[in-house]
Amino acid sequence: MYLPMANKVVRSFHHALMLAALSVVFASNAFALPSFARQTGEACDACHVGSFGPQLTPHGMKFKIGGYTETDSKPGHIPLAAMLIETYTHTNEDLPEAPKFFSKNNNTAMQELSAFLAGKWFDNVGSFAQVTFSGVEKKTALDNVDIRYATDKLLGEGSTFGVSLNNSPGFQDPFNTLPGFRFPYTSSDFGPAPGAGVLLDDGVAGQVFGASAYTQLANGLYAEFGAYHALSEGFLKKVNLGADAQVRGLAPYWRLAYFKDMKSEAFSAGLVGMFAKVRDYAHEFEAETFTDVGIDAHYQLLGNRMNIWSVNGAYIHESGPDNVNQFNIAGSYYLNKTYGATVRYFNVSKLDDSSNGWTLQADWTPFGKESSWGAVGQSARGFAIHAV
Amino acid sequence: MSFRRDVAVHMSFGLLAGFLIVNNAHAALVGDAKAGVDVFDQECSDCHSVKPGKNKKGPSLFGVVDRKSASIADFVYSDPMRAYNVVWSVDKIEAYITNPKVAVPGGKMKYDGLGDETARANLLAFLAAQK
Repeated sequence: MYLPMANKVVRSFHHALMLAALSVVFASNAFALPSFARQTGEACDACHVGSFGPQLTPHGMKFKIGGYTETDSKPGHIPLAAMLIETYTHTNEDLPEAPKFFSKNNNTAMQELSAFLAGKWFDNVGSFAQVTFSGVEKKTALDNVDIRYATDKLLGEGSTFGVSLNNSPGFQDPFNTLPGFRFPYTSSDFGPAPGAGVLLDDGVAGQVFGASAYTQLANGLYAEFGAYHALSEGFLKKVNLGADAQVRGLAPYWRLAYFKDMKSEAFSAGLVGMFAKVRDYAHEFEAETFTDVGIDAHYQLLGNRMNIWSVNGAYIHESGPDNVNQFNIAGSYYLNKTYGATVRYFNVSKLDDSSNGWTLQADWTPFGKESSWGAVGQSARGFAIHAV
Repeated sequence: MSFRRDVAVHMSFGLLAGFLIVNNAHAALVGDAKAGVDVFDQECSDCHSVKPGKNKKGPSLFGVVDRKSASIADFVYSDPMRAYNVVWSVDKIEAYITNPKVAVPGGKMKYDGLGDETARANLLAFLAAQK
């Protein structure tokens, strides 16, 4: 992002929408984080809606809150995994310029090849850390990093206290409602960028490193507070990330939510906020102040897991140069932990512009169930996305 | 529905083998193993399998009824569970799943318990059939 980040992102998204009134992506992922499955002995469907990440079930949310450390108690699990994303993208109008190495339309690409250090390191410490090779940009870069300490011995029976070290505000959140980790979880690098526009929506993702302390109490209260600091330009260059948005000083992040898992259904509702003074690394512009405050909720109807309905939504207001309002809501249905459909609506408005649109996804996940071939060794999903 | 009538109805469909009578101090219930599948999937399947030898975060529940507690050789039990030292009769399992933290204080199963009596009976009937 860069400073007048909100302007830039919304404008480019609007432009992309006009170009890509019809965008279709076919993708297949292979080897999606089997390290968590090997570690727990559980198939992917225990933690993921539709047997494939990253949309979490309540069980998966608790695994994340628990610091990625729960296991089947056996030693010797290696917390390494890999993921491959292949895409084919068609837009209804050609791109104005062909991306380097690609065409103006109908592009097939190995979009991502990622390696993960994902799972338990030792007692109470685990991680979800990702390095990704982009087959579009032809470079390898540091991706999401979330290293955690978590314990259930400190605050009494059924309560967890933890600390997350991460590089993307909101990515550490367990409820799949905040921009850091919500639908659409994968989109084509050639298609329209999903509705960004606020600090919490990848505004400083990858450009910062922060620590937050969090607790999930037995009574359902989830609270988190932390702060982020800019990574040095030299470090960002070493890990192949562009140095765009530099946070000045510390940027506080806070989260308050209520989470209830009733086994047959689950929900969360909460508030989130972040404050940051941001400027470009080249210091060509003055720092500007962004204050994000959001409200979010999710509901899942799980039953016996053969018909899972879910709704995730968030509204975020950003006080800043553009006073952005961002609204997202997504609803999904999964049949037999295998066949899924998701529809999402977004609306981004600011002082002098607004955009909105829909994203539709249909997917098929043949593996990742206990009865699947190689149940805890691999996973795959094929899906089609249509963005308007 | 009375106990006799309930059993008679289900016998007529040839499903008697899938039913289990659960007796405790409060009630005598007939569990429906078929309905217990859904209860198992909803309440237990994230952490337990009924496949023989398939341990997840919890041990396999294949053959759990009348099995000695903490007796699966390649599963690492908590100290309180090892000290519990019972045979998993239907009554013992029911007491445990009603409130695990009371039955085995300090055990590692992260489960608040199944309060619904009918659901428990159905689950127990399903588990009893896993052998």
